[in-house]
Amino acid sequence: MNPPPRHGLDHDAIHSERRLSTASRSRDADTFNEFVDQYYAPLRRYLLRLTGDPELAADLTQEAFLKAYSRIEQLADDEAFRPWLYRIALNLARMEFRRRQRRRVLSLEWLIESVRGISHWLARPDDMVTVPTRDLVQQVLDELSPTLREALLLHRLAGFTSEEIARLLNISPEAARKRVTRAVQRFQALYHERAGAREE
Amino acid sequence: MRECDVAAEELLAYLDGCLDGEREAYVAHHVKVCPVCQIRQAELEETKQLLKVSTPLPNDEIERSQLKAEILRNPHPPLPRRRRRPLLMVVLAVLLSLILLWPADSSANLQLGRVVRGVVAQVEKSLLGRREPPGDRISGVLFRDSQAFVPPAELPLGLRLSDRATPGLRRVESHYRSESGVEILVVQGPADQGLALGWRDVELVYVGDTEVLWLKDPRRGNVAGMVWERHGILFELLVLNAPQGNEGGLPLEETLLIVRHIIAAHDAASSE
Repeated sequence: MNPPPRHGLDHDAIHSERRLSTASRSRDADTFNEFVDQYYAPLRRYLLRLTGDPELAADLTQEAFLKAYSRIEQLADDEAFRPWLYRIALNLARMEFRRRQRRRVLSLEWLIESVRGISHWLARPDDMVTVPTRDLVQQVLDELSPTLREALLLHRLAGFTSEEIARLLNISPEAARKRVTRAVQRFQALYHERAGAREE
Repeated sequence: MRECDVAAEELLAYLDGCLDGEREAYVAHHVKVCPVCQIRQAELEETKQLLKVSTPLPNDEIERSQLKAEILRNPHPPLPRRRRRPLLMVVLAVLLSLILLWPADSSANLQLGRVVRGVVAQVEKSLLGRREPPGDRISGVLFRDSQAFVPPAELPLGLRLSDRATPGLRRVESHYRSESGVEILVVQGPADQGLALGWRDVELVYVGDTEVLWLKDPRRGNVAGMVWERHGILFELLVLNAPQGNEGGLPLEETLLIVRHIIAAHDAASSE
């Protein structure tokens, strides 16, 4: 059997990240922008699935990078940039969820527009997959608890290892593995149930 | 089938490369022969593929360029500093404890409790703006039970109005039940208030010219709720209970009958 596929970053990427982290701590905008090139798309994709809202994902991605840049000196010497960036993004997303939860008051007009917006986004012609698949995946993700959704996306979409997730979420590696395992089981069960129902 | 002595979490640790040498070797061998672990591994891989394939990396060139330009424009943004005021925190904590612990009907002739409650009342007043009796204004009209539209006493599916309530400042609820066990709640509020919605699976449908949001029940084709606006009033129809066999929620066609009925009655009432 082949060696187990490892997630996270490979050796070159880690080396490159350390070099960039060290350089950008001195607030070198050009160096920091290399991080932007490297991580913008994956972070936005992660946030898109976490929030289910393309515009919110784009806003949070921008905000996360700007916040990371303004606080780059707080990045510990032995801390990798990528998990740190994701932690910032995750905290921003959680704050946004809490804010919305508190308000939970949306105008009907806004809501109708957002439904149209989502439909438009789902139907974009350059999508690589058909609308039902994308829709179904998001439906299933939305049914997971926020804790499980975060863990699942960090592991299976963003490619963090369970130990990286543990540090990122400030939990033990065992707890991180438990979350990911439960999330995968729940995702699989829901996905196949819904997919089966669609085919009927 | 052999029993599997490798937990799903340990398999994950192995796949993440987080096991030590001896255990890693054991699990590597075990996975080759254990159908349970092979299924788990396949599920992990399928989940990854589903997520990745259904979520392509976005074409973000413009956004990225804007962000990079913003960073270059402002290469030394001020560091957000959190001010720490330990003394102030202690004072606030003491005040909070007093507010929470002071008996409301204390007969002790101490001024502090009154002062604290007075401050709290002032803060509440300034934060909440006002404390009014039930009712509020929509488009210059006071909205309360007496001014809400009175929905029909009977609706399709044998639903009968069982009670009405005004539980909040800007909310009138009408509760319907049928003998077959269907229960719905029709909520009215001013349209400028918006609505409380924690629903992701929604679709827009039309009843005549009215846009109606269909809040989907997890069961396919069923309705958990409907929301629409008409003549400045926001209506929410929430399915509280459905007869067995519908597996939760009401079928779309039946719910639309109810919505159509309410809209027609509301239109008739508005034109009077």
